[in-house]
Amino acid sequence: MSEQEIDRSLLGAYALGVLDRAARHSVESHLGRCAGCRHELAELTAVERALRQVPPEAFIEGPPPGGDLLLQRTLRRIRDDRGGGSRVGRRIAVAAGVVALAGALVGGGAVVGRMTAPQQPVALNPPPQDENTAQPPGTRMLTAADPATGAHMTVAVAPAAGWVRLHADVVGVPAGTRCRIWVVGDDGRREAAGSWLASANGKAGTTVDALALIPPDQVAAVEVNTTDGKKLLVARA
Amino acid sequence: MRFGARRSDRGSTAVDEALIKSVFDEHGGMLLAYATRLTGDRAAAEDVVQETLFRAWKHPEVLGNRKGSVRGWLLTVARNIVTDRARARAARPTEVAEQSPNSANGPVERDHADHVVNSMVVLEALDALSPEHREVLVEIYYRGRSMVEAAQALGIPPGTVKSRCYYALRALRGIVGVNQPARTREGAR
Repeated sequence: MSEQEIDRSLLGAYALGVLDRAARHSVESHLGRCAGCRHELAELTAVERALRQVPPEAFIEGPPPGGDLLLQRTLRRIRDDRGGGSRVGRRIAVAAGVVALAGALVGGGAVVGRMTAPQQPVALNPPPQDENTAQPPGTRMLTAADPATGAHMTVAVAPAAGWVRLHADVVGVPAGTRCRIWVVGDDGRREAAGSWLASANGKAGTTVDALALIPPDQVAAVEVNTTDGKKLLVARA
Repeated sequence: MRFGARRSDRGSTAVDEALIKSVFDEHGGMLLAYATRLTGDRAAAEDVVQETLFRAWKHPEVLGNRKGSVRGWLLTVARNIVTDRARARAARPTEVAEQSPNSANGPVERDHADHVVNSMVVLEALDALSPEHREVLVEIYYRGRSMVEAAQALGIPPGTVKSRCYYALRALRGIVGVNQPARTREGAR
C-alpha cells in the first residue's frame, strides 16, 4: 500500500454508504490499486447486505408509549383462550397443587379470598364466571421489575374494609433468598405482610397471599425486600 | 383461608401473565413500531402485536432463547401476520388500500420488510457486539444519521465513529459466513 495507503477504517463507512464525495473518491482510487482492500471491502459489503435483514425497529427497547390498553387486551385474549371450552385444560391441570386462580388477572383484578387448602385443586378451580364480576371492585394490579436481576412481580391489591389483601407473583428472585413483602402507605407507614424463602426454581416464582392493615386508598407501594432489608422489588401504586 | 407464601407451579395464570407482560415490556415498543410501519395504521398494528404476543404465549419455549433470537422470532411472526392479513384482504376486492403512504413511520427509507426471516442471526450478532460498536451502527445505519450527526449524538469525535463503523462491520463478518482470519488487521487503525 505504501504511499497510496488510505486509512483502512474508511472502508467501513464506505460500505455503509456514509462517506462524503471526496472521501469516497479517494477510497475508490485506492481500491483500483489495492487487492487487499478490495477483498476486505467485499466482506464488509456482504455484512452491510446482511444488516438490511434487520428492520430499524429492532433497536427499540421497552414497551410502547401508551401501550397499557394494548397489554390489557392481550392479557384478556390469553385469559379468554385459557378459560374457553378447555377451562380445566393443560395449564390449569399443571397448576394442580396450587389454587389455580383462573380469574386472577392483570387488569382484571384478583380472586383474593379464594385461597384454600392447596391439596384439592380440581374441586377448587374457580367455576366459570364472568371476569368482570369475579374480582373485588377496586382491585389494583401493580407491577415491578428489576432489569438488572430479571426479577419481577405482579401484585393484585384488593380492597377490604380499611385494609388490603395482596396476591403477588414474585419471579426471578435467587433461590434461597429470604424475602419479606411490605405494603407502604402514602404517609410512609410500612406494614410487613408476609415472608418466605424464594423458590429453588426462580423462573416458576413464588405466589404470595398476604394482608396488611393499610387502607386501600392509602397504598403507595408494595415492596419485596430481603429479610435483612435489601430492596428487591418496588411496585408503586 | 390460607395466607402466607406459597410456591407456584409453572403454568399458573399469574406466572403466564407476568411472562407475557415482561415480553411486552421488553419488546412491545419494537413490535408496535414495526407493525405500524408495515400496516400504516395504529389500530391494525395493535391487533398484529396482540396476535404476535398471543402466539408467543402459545410457544413459551421460544422465549427462553437468547434475546436476539426472541426479537427475531417476534418480528418474523408479526411480519407474517401482516402478510397473511394483507393477502386475506386482497382476496376481497371490495376493500381498498391496505397501506397508507405514511412515510413518517420508519426512521430510514430502506425497506427491510421482506428480509426479516433471517434476521435472527443478525440480531444475535448485533446483540453480541460491544455497546460502543452497536450504538454507532444503530445511529449511522438504522437511524440514517451522518457521521457528524452520529458523533454529536454519541458525544465522540467523527473519526471515532468512522473507526467504530469499521470494527463493528468486521466483528459482524460471521453473519455472512465470511470468517476470514484476522490477517488484514495490521493495516487497520
